[in-house]
Formats: sequence, C-alpha cells, structure tokens
Amino acid sequence: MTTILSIPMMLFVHDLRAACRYPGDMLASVMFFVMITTLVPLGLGPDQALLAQIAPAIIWIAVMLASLPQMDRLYTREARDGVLEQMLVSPAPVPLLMLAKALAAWVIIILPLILSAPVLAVMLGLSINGLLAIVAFLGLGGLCLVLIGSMAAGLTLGSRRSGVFIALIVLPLAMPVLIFGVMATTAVLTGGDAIGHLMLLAALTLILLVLAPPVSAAAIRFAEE
Amino acid sequence: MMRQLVLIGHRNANAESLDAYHALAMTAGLAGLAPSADHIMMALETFAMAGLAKRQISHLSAGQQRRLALARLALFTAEPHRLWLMDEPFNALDDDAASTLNHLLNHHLESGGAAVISGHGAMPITANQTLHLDQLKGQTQSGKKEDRS
Repeated sequence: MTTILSIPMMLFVHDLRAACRYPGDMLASVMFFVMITTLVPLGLGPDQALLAQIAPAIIWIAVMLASLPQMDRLYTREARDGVLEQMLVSPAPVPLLMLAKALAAWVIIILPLILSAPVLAVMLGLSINGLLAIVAFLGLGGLCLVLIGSMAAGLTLGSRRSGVFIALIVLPLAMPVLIFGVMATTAVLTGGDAIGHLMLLAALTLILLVLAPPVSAAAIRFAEE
Repeated sequence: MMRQLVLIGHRNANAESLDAYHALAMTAGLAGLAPSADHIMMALETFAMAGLAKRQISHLSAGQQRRLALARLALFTAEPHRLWLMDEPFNALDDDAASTLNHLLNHHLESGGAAVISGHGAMPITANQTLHLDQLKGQTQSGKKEDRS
C-alpha cells in the first residue's frame, strides 16, 4: 500500500528536481506569456476601460498558448532515455505515475505563469479583486490544461510533428476551460456571480483528474510497445 | 500481485536531466525501493561510479552510463524474489564491469533468484538450472544443470 503512493510521490519530486536543472525552459514560457500579454495592449491602444474588459480573456489565452510548447516535451525525454519503460514495469499503477507527472507539470509549467500574472494584471488595468480571482481560477484551469496536455503528449509520443498535433488536440479540448475560466473571472470583475462558472470549472477539473491519467497511461503503453 | 521486476533494458533509463546519484535513486524508486544515501553510494561504488555521483548524465560517457544502469542491480541484492530482466547486459562492458556484473548475477541466483537474460554466446554464470531458448525452433532446446567452468 505504501509503495502505491510513495512511488508517484518520489516521481513528482524527481520531476521537480529535473526541471530545476533547466530553469531556461520555465523562463522561456514566462517570457512568451509576458510577450503575448504585452503585445495586445500595444496593438489596441491605451484604452483602460477596454483593456480591463478583455484582460481576463487575454491572460487565459496567453496561458494556453505559453504552456503548449512545454506540453510537447512532457514525455519525450523519458521516452528517449528509457525511464518511461521503467515506469511501465513499476509496481505502482501507471495511471498514478501519470497523475504525479501531470501534477509536477502543473508546478513546472503553470505555476510560473500564474506567478507572473500580477505584473500583467497591473498593465492591463485589473483591480486587486480581479487579480486574486484570476490567480485562483488560473490555478484550477491550469490543472485542466496540463491534464489535457498529458493525454495529448501521450497520444503524440513518437510522432515527428508532435508539436502541431498537440496544439490540435489540446486547444479544442481546452475550449470549455477557457469559456468557464473567462466567464468566472469576468463575473468577479463586474461584481456578478462567479460561483456557477467556477463550479463548472471545478467539475471539469475533477473529470479530467479521473479521466486523463488512465488515458495517458494507455497511450504510453501503446507507444512503448 | 505487484510487479516485482528489475529491468535492465536496451536503454539505460538514466534520467538525462539528473545527476548520476539522483538518476539511480529514481530508477530504484520506480521499482519500489527507497535506498538510503549510503546504500546508493555503495551501489555506485560497485561499478566504480561513486566519484561521478554528482556528474550530470549527459556528461557521462556511454560506458559510464551503462555502468550506472547496472549499478541499480547492486541495490536489489537483498531482494532475491525479484525477477531480473536483462537485455544483453554483458555487451560493451570492460573486464572489471563484466566481472562485477557476473558476481552480482551469481549472488542473485545463489540466493534463489531468477533472471531472464538475452545475449550472444555463453553466459559465465552459475545457476541451478539454465534454460536455453532457441528462437528458430520456437521451443526449449535443453533444460539442464550447468556447473561453473
């Protein structure tokens, strides 16, 4: 029983340690995120009211786009060096290992983006309430994104144009995340009721938490055979 | 029933973004083992890799990476119930490493363990029973007792 949980936890820690060795990857996606959110106000002009209105959508879309290149690399290293093979013969259930990797990916990919959101919120003229809401909702929505990304990364493992395919798989599946995330954030900003949208986002996260790990486990088993 | 395997595959399974010490800790961990730091250093030393413990995998030579993968076996000497699955483990090893591997393998077999090994030519191992599989005939060629020569 202990190994069932201790092995995924060990994998989680090692993934974070490996990510710390390549801080450039994290920094690159944060820079990309900042660039997208900077370009929009530059293109639209200094209309604070308009910017504040579309800020949630900009930030959500920027997070989706900035996290995509990293999703592509979710399993490629492990497939190349043979760690994936070891995961498949591990005594721990493979879906739990996939869940551990997805949670580690959340820390590595999504967390840096969320942490840089406050800077951007100021630039886009968001209130402090809106800022707190966007950080919390992005955390939840980001978990959805990495779970969808983990499925896509498993399914495209070994294909030569995996980057394009991942975008084609992730973006349509992430539409509900974007819709509910932006609606919840906008509701907070305009003083409306965000609970309904937030619950739908949470429900989506729960579904993906159950669904995504077995799917990516099956995909990886298929790719490794 | 939980899978109790030690797999030495064609690929070394050393996580290339980690150093030698943590890569070994990770593969051992995936197999369900939580070795102490001393234990890991001892396993590294078995294949003369202790001095390279902090070296990143991508900075190790092919031979060193192979020895690091084999050092994993030294962590499982107290677990004879595990099946060792090995894909051509003796390939591209220097004499010292080959004799160390030989020693570990014999120890595993003598404590009642079993191993499935693919390879070319005769295996320099002592086993109570060795089963040679002939792929062409698709059946076992001989199941005989072998003595160490």
